Amino acid sequence: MTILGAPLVAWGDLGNVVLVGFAGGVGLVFTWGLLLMGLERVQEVRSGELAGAGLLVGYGAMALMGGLCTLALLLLGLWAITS
Amino acid sequence: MLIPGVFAVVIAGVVAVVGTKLAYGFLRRIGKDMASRGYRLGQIGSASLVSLGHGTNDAQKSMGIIVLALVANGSLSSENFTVPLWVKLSCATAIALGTFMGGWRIIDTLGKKVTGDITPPQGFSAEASGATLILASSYFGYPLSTTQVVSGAVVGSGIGRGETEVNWGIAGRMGVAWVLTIPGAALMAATVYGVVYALGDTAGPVLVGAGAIAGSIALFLKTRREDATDAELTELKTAAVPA
Repeated sequence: MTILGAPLVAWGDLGNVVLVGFAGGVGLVFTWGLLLMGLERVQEVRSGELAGAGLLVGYGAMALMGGLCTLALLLLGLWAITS
Repeated sequence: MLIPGVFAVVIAGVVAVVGTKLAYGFLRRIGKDMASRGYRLGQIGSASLVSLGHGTNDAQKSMGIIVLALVANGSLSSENFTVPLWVKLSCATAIALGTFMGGWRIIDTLGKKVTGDITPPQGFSAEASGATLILASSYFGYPLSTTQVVSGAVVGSGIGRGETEVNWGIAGRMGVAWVLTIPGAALMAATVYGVVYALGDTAGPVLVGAGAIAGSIALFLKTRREDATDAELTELKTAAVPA
């Protein structure tokens, strides 16, 4: 449906906004959550609540990945806006 | 054309529902203390993103209207123009001043009345989804209302949290206000055009400008006076500015 020759709904752009919204909005919550969960578990391993050097490395990697992915999402957003 | 900006409110709400459910999933795994501290810290970043989105979308709409007037007046070429620096500076200053001057009633409504007191995971999810939607719409070139998108995200985060019910009475009143905004603005624009048309190109704009400034100052003073006697707002301001 068009009004004065323009489409009533820009479905292509709407789909892109939905995709970016989910990727960014839910993605940020997920990556930040990974960072927090990794840090919490690292603290537990260090305090002796959980045992194992492998766990320390694994949860440390999880926290690092969460932090890096959060940073990457932010940088990607800033790059998209300024480019 | 109906643009994605119109749907952004609903999309922000749906994204916030999923984001808040996810954040509460993490909260159950990492404990309340770490989650509260972590998401509160994260809110510094997510709130900054909302502010960035606000600047990339709302100031541009004002600039667009001023540029349209300059083009219509022949001061700028419609074929090839750049936005004058004074337009950018005036819009940026006005939006920064408006943000600085308050809006405590909106903060009170969104932060406390729509879904009860917002928790840090809920706030983080609402801000992350709102900011992403605003920035995405800015990227694709669609104007939208920051307030409406953030409100949609707050309602969505309330649904996602699940423990508290969304105050649909307040949410409904906000929806009615949004619907009335567009015809109200059109009516006001038509009235201003009529006044300028009747009084001429000099007296008309001067009278309308003086009326707008006087009305804004009167409204600001009235709001300030009423806010000073509102115990809830005073408590909110005190809590927001730690000693």
